Amino acid sequence: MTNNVLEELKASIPKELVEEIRLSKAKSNIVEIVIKPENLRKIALHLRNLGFNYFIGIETIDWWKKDNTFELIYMFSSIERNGQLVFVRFKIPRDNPVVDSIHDIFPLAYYQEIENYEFFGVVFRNHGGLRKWILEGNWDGPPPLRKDFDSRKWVLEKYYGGKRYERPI
Amino acid sequence: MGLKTVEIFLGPQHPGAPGNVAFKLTLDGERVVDAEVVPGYLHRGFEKLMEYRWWEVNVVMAPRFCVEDPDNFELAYVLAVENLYGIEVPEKAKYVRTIIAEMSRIQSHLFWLLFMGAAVGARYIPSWAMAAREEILKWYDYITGHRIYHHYLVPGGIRWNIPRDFRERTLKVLKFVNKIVDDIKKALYENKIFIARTRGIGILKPQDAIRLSATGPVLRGSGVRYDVRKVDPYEAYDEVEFNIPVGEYGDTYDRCLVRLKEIYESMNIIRQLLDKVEKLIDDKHYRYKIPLVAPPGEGIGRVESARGEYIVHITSTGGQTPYRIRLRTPSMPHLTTVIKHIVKNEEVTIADFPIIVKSLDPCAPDLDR
Repeated sequence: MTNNVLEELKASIPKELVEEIRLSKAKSNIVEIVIKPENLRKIALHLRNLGFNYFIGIETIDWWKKDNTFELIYMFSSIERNGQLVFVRFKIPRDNPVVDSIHDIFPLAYYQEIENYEFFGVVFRNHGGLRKWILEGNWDGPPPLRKDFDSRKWVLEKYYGGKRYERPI
Repeated sequence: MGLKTVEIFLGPQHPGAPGNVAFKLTLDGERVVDAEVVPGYLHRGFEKLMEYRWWEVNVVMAPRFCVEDPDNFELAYVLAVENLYGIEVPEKAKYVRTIIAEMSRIQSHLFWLLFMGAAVGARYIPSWAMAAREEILKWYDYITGHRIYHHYLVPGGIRWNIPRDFRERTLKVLKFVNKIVDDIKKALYENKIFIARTRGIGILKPQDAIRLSATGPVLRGSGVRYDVRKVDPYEAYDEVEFNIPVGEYGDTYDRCLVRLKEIYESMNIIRQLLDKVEKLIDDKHYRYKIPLVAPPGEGIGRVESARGEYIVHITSTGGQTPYRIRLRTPSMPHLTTVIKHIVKNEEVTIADFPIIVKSLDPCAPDLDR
């Protein structure tokens, strides 16, 4: 089943849009597509036309110390193909994290993109509504899920005067 | 924004709000023309907190953002860790875990009946549903030692062995719950007022449900036969027989009916598995201990929770703690895209709004995390 999908994706998606199509290392029934960030919208449209029209979510991984990039993973699924999962992954530079928005193709992406914006500071081009949403009104620091933000240290400094159990750190 | 429209804030203290979440409603007279969710009342930063804790300690964190359905959330995390470590759990643990997860689904649907009954003004339903749920909580207390959050499923198996009277005890609970659910079916689902208030409102067509990423009973209520337990079986779900109940019209009543039928299906699954557990009752083999340091790589846990498809994606760089955990929770589409679609496409009055929201069964904390 998954192998058929892998072959079909390899055959139907133009070679110049993707870098690699492979089975996931973690679970062999997930197909992963590695792309360049500028091709995201084209791939999303392709996948929708192929029946992968069930959008699940966006994940950001901060590879701060490794190569100073953000890795974005877009999760798609297909109901007519028995819930086959497809992960689209790519990396963008950490200093200038800009990527195209796909909220007009998949409506849920609108909110997933806001979430990734407020927690990682990834900017989605042509989104039109990027703002603080979950963190609205109670957070004014840097994007909190970034790896260079140490929340434990921040809590000690903010609420305990820089001391841990009333002793200096 | 015309002169006639007015903006009001509904929640988080309002009886019509589904828990700790608010809505900014735009009203034109009585009609709701737009609903924007205001989340964040229960944000604790679980994804960050879990990055600081050991793999096994995170089991305690994993269920804590949803009171109603803790074990399916715990199971997804545990499955992801096992996927990362590459371990298969003992057979006995597999069956027991499936029973625990199905019991969690039943208690979650019973908890939802409390909200739904209160929303339509059927005052007797909440107390009946809570009485049934109380029996399940006592059963959990007996098996796991905790009532609400159990931490019973651990990477590698179950925390401790099941008691010898597991089967009798479980069957007793199921008998009690079955009786009350039968009563609820008669008293609520055949009630004229309930039908009048739910039939034909809040319609979600199947193609819209897929486009808007609705999951779980909301998707199935729209007539899409899709369940992760069937399409990507985990634990012991490929060894049991069960149906996927679906709705016909995709309205509020159908979503309620799907949940009621799911309670019966879950009880059916538990009864099938009890026989298999009974055969293994003397088996002492129920848990593997996992090493403190995980191998580098990725792990994925995918379960059908009571609210829909729930995915945990773990990235590890080979340490005592996760590098990154992504929790893709099922309530986000229901509170954002689905509710917006419904109020834009039909005439929803302010009186119907709480009923529609509660029929989607959102769990606000799992949107915030």
